Amino acid sequence: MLSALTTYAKSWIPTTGSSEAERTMKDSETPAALGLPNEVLMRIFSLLPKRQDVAACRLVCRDFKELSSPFLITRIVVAKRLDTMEKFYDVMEHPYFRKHVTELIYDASWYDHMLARDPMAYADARMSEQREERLSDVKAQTRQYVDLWDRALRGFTTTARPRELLEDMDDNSELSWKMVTYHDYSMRCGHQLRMLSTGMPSYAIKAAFHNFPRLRHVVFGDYRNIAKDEESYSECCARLFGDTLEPYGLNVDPNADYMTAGMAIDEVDQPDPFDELIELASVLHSVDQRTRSRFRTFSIGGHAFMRLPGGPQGIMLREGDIQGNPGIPLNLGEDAEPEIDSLDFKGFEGVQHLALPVEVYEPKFDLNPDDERENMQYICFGAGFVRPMLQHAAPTLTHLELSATKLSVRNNEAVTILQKLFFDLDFPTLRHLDLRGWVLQADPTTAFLSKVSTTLKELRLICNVVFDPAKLAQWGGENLCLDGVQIYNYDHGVVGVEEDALDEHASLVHEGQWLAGRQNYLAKVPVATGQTAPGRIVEEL
Amino acid sequence: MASEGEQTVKLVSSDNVEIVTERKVAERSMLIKNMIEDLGAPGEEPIPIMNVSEAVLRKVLEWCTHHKNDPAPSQDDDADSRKKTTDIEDWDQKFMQVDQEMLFEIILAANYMDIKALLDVGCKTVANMIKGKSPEEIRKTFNIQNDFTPEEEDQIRRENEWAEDR
Repeated sequence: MLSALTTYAKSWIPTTGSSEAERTMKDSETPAALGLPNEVLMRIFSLLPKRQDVAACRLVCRDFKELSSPFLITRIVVAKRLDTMEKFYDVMEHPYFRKHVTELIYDASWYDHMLARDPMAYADARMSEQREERLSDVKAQTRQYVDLWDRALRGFTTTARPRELLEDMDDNSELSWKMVTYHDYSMRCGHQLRMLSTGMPSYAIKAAFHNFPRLRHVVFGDYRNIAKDEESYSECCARLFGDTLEPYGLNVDPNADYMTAGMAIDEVDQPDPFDELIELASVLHSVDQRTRSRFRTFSIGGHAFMRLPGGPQGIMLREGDIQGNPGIPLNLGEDAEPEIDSLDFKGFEGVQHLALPVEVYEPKFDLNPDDERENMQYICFGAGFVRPMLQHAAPTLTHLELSATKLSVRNNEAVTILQKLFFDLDFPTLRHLDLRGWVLQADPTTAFLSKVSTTLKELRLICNVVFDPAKLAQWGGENLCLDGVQIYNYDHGVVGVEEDALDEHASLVHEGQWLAGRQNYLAKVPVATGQTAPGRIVEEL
Repeated sequence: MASEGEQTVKLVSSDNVEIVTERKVAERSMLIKNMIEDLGAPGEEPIPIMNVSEAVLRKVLEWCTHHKNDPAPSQDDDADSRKKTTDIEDWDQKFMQVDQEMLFEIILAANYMDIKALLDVGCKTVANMIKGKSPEEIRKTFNIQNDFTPEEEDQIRRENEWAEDR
């Protein structure tokens, strides 16, 4: 019997692993790290989060280069920029690197045509932006000038050094320096216009699915999504755009009042990220089904500079703040909502992971307070694409992350938004649910969770406003069989009374209840993507 | 009959040492779990772990004991692998504070015994040893010879630069 077992055990030796004999032999002649089987080394290299680390491994030795190179270029960017598209086609035409790309980032950043036409407006915008200035060139020129004056005045007894004149220097040269980058901005804006009108981004996405055989993930974002790890915002902009003003990201709505102020409607011919999202969806739909079946995950925003996990529910940003705050993921514009054809999103069939930020608008005070439907429509502006995406992805979806920005608890409709977005849909394979920034009432929430109770294993509820969180947690413990939870919410009963209603102790107690005392698998995992809970400002009712 | 959790199994290391352990602990190893399922009668016959010495096997079982109640790993690690992370929980970090030879032995054993979570921790530990280092520092850490010609190195450097996103 023992010999039978031994034979059996031998048959289990993984073919790619090295047998003991081989290893002993190898140990004596090769360094320790190379004593590991190739597939283990590849696994190690695949875990390196920074390209720079992969780049270093490629320079260590031939074996390391061979096994780490697949992880040098795993993502590719499509944007309305010349240098970006050149790089895109460089990689696509590369016989080796194209085979290892897994992720496509659609960078919907856009240059402002109005700024490109108006040098003074550009200079103003360049001066008011929050990037750290790189004025070294300007300063150097000023110094040169001062030095020259020092030499010119040498030997003269005059004490009238033209200090006043020099004092103006900084201002003047700063302005002229900004004007130099204006030319670059206008050029970039021109490229953008031509690329959009010829449909180059759409060709590129279509080509991507045919030419990158491992492409599975699509991210809809902006230039902030291609920041390197640990790069500051200023460093990122300087690397991508030099001294030129950066384009707008998804947080700036081309149709917002403050953007279009003083313009006639027909003057506004700005690119609109929302149009590009619809275009992206329809291109995905047009890719043939076999190729498209590799498409697994889709997310919007989610870049390194996003500060808030769910969005500060009570905070209404002033319009001027929006531009400076990189945390607002996608502003779709209240007046810009085009008719959404659910069929446009048929390409999302088969998708397993969705991570979507939803911007929720406040009802305007001049709306009819008695007409619930009218108010509801207003609130859900901007979320129009979410439901059709979910409808098509629901049968195969395993991970769902939905975060709301700008949703306020004082909004009476807030509690019904999730019901209208997706609580009525069926998700037969949903395993992981992550809701941030919403307002959750016990009954509709438990009704939805009951439907996914057999598959749901992980639940994250972060920065939501929850009615009776203890009751909800107890229900979860009794009716769900979760492996892990992260629960960190505002108690509706406390909101409005305290400045900061996030209660860490209560969170821990609720986590225990959700799991009915079982070990919390997610407790070991740090809160995803380094986001921390925001401080909260509760507005007066 | 004893419940599954209390059952014990006998494992035999490559250097012929018999180790008795809880069945639940041993079944963190898919290799052992499949063998038990296919052959039945657990606990009666010793199970040979061909490639793993006693010292390493005891260390691996220490890990399995600590993690015996962890949920089964999710099948789709698609998105997880995209969100690259080398975070390791505290207990595992301490567990992995061993010399390099033992670290690689544990990784090899986890690979052979098919314990995905332990293999992950091991790989993350090595990835953390690589992170932020220059090629020369990596060579020094793992005692690796540089076998490139200067021309080859130049070529790789140029490729690395070209790879940056624009």
